Amino acid sequence: MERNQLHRQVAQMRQSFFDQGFLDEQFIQLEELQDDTNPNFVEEVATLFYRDSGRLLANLEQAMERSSLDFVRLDNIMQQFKGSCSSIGAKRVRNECNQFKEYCRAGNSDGCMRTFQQLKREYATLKRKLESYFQLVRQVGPREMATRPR
Amino acid sequence: MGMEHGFSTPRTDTFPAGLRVLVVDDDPTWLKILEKMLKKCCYEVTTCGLAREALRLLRDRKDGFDIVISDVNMPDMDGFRLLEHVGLEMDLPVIMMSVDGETSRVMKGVQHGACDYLLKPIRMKELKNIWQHVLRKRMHDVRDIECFEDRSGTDRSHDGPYGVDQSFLKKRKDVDNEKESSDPSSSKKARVVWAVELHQKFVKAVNQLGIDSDKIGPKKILDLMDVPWLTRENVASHLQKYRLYLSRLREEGKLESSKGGGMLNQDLLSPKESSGSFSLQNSSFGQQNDITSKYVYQGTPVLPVQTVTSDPPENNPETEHIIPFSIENCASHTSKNSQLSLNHTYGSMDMSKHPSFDSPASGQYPWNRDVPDHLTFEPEFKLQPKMESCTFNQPTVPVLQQHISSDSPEQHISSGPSISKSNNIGLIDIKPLNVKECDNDTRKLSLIESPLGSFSVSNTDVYGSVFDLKNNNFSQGVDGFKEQPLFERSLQSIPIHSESHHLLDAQVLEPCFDATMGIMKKQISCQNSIIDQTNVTGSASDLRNQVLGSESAASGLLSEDLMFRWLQYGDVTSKDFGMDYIGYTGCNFSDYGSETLLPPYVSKLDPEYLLDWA
Repeated sequence: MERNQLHRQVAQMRQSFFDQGFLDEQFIQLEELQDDTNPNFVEEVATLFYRDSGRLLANLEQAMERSSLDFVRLDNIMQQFKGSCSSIGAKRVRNECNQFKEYCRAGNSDGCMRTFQQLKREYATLKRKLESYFQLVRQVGPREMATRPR
Repeated sequence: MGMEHGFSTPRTDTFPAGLRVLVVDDDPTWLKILEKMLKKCCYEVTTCGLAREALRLLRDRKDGFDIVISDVNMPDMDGFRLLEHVGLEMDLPVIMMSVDGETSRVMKGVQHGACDYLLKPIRMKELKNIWQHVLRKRMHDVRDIECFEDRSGTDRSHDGPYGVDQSFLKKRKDVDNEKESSDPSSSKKARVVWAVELHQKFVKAVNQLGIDSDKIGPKKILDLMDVPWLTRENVASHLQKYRLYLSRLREEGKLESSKGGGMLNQDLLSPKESSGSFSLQNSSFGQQNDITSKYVYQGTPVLPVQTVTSDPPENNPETEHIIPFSIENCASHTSKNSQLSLNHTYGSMDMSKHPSFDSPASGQYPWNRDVPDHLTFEPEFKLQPKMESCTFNQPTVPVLQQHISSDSPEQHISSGPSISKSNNIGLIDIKPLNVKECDNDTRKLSLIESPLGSFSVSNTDVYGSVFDLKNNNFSQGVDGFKEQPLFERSLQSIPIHSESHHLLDAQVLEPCFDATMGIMKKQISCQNSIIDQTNVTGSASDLRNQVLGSESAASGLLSEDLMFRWLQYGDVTSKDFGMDYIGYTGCNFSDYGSETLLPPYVSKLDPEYLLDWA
């Protein structure tokens, strides 16, 4: 049945997030918070995350364009960005954040730039994946997504 | 952020369910998550995205929250600072959160009084346990009461040297009586209310001993203070907070060092604070010390306060009583950085106006914004539109004039001596507010905090004198302040330090105007003169320019922090405050440098914003 197939698809996609390290336990926490009063909670959080982190990313982008990097400022913005990533459990992106902060502390411009590029890639990948995921979820119906992974 | 409206009372029957939590975090994603998580714990949640907003909420709803959870990194205010404020003002347990778990940060949190430090991502079980902190604190407070009971004995009814204490004692007595129930969670939260006078005593004792000396200790302070019902533990915890406060001030008091005496806290200090900084410099100034500790208000007279003639007779006695300023003190200040002194005096003035010390309900700190409440010394006070206008008399000592208008709507402007020039006297701009429209409950005097001190201004028409510290420019508040706002009218504290880029400008926006929106509107309409922050200093015209022509009742010196806040806050518009009064046009946030003046933002928010000395 198509519905079953959809279910399976969703479950598989979800599992891959964890297996591939895109998302961590926090995502599960969010799923657990979802209930009848907030049937689309996880997606709402994800939307907020995109919005907030997108803004921070733009700030970072701007700050990175300077010829000489202001590491303190970058570190500050990154701190906020990292906080945002932790809200949804964006594991890979968060790792890049940590790497970036390390380079900031070391005053390593090249390192920062490279890491930043990687970070952006990871971020874009995650965003894409989550968007398709939620689209599927909506098709299936949020209530059916109560399963716990792992 | 969803903010609850309406005041909730603690539900003690199903404790910890119904625990009233205030969550402060600039990250909207986390705010949403935390709200959901806390609701799942059956707590009553209020969310907030800005620290100053949080402080406002806390001040508005005294005893409206049981615990505060705040992120460490906030755009408008350092989380630690918020922590200090909450600890000193409301004495609520505060939990810090951060994505950064570095030991040094955690340690800082604990040192600042956080009862816990959570790392993001936060787990449900961590939140489920937060009620323990509330319980623990309550039990501690109850113990304090018990000690009090033991000690005070029959002294309760004794009207000690401080009138304030009388009511305070009364309050305590009530609390004690209530404390029959064995359930600690249901006992009224009885905290030692560090009323202005009490705090003054504390500071005095501390100064006597020497804050930095190793001889200082809670026991010695307690002995010096000679307050029978106070316990060593009370003093100890208060001392700790005071120390933190001082150290923070010292760090930030760049000006102090350069100015030598004028310490202007860049922060938006509460009246107390500003004076505090002041006190750092002037040891002679008894009160100063108090000020640094945020307890600006000092009971001891510092400057002679002249109440404006128009002041309703009934208020006069109070004001005089309240604001005793010794001239000598002032004089000493004027010679040096009078700013400080001014701050100080102003601060005290302010406090006197609305010390909350005598009103149990008003919370624990004198700088309670609800001025009206404090003005009277009775426990129950009603908000009265108070207008305070402080003018400093320059020649020798700044004379603060305070007008406290009681119920009469019209505000009287202190037509007192205009401050001619004060040598570097900080100016305070206190404007009597027209309270006519304020209803008692909502009307609050916004405390204007400025380096000089804080003044509370009612949110009604405010006009006052603006003094240009640097330029010795004082514009006197006018009697006719009712009319439209002139610069002078607005409350503004002129930033005192010209040298420093920190101009704290002056406009202390006292956000608290819940009432009199209408008036505010009018007042605000005039604001357009946004001060050119970059020019801080002092030419008289600069000053004027600086003085935001905001009619807003609340103006105060905005500390840098406030400025930052403003900046962060973006364009503050009336919609933000739910008030349409803001005809705020000239607010150029873009002009804010880190230490520029804040635009005359008049918000309907209570002066907490300004007072936010964080």
